[in-house]
Amino acid sequence: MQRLIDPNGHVTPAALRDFAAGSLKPEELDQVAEHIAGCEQCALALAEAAEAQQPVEAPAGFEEEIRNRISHSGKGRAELFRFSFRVALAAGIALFFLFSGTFHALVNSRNPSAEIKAPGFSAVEKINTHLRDFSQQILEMEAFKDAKKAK
Amino acid sequence: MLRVEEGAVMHIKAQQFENYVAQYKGLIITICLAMTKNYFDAEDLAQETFLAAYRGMERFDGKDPKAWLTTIAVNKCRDYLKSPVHKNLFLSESDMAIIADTGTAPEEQAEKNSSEALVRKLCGRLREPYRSVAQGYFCEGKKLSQMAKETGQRLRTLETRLYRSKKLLKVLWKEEQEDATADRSKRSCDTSGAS
Repeated sequence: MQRLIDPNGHVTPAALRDFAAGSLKPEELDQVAEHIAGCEQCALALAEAAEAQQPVEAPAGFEEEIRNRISHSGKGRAELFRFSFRVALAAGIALFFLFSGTFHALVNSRNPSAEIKAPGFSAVEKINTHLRDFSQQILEMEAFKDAKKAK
Repeated sequence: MLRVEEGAVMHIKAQQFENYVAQYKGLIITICLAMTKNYFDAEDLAQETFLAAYRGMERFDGKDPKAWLTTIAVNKCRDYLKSPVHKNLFLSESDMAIIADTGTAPEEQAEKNSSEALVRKLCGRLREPYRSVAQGYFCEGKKLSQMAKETGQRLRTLETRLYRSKKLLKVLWKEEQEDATADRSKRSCDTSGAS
């Protein structure tokens, strides 16, 4: 493994060249990239090493594509804002109803038409009375027959 | 008065940003390619780098844009290389339907090492209507607005097709590189076995 960091704590020129050429091993790349991410001096040195390489051409539509993405991200944020506003408004209305006592008033208000009447038992009682009388008559008739037999 | 000044500052910043993109796009793609070893990943990460730079323009002191953009690009690539998205790239059935058979013509095999030829070859593996958008953008130097004008299609439609094409091309490039690595290691094994 080659020396990646010099005694001053910066990436060596050889490591920068290999980085720019894409020939560092994954673990070396990780170590060098971690240093460059926090060191402006080495970031500039890497940029210069990369410029010395054969440059990679960007597609002709690269800049237009960035402009489109910027405009879409702006639209996306606006849509997110509108959606969040609607959700917050709905939640606010629900909370207002909950704490303003509107629900409480609605629940406790008495509606006469909604009251359930107790069922009338007069018909049932009438049937019961008839049945009782009828069974009593049978009992009396049986008792009369038994008395007759006994005689 | 203050609003007019703010507008002027915004305009200058936007102009400055455009200059940065024009001046450093090649450099940033080169750095992203060096880190990812995948042209389509590199192109996408370079765009992400400039989008992050655009959002951070307010905080940038304007002293050293080259070092600033390089730092953003390195950080974007590090995050991407560590992300599960990069490690578990796969194609769904609907993605596979967009890719044509893997047959490789002899002349394509001969130029396999050239990145430009590989870009062209992989774009050619996509089915229509994705192929023409990818070839126009990556191989023929066309802008999407130009393609929209030529074909009469909506710009948004072409953007969606390009987005999907890029997703597929990233995976195809990765597969191609893995095949090339496997070929190399097989060849070196054969050579050492023969000697």
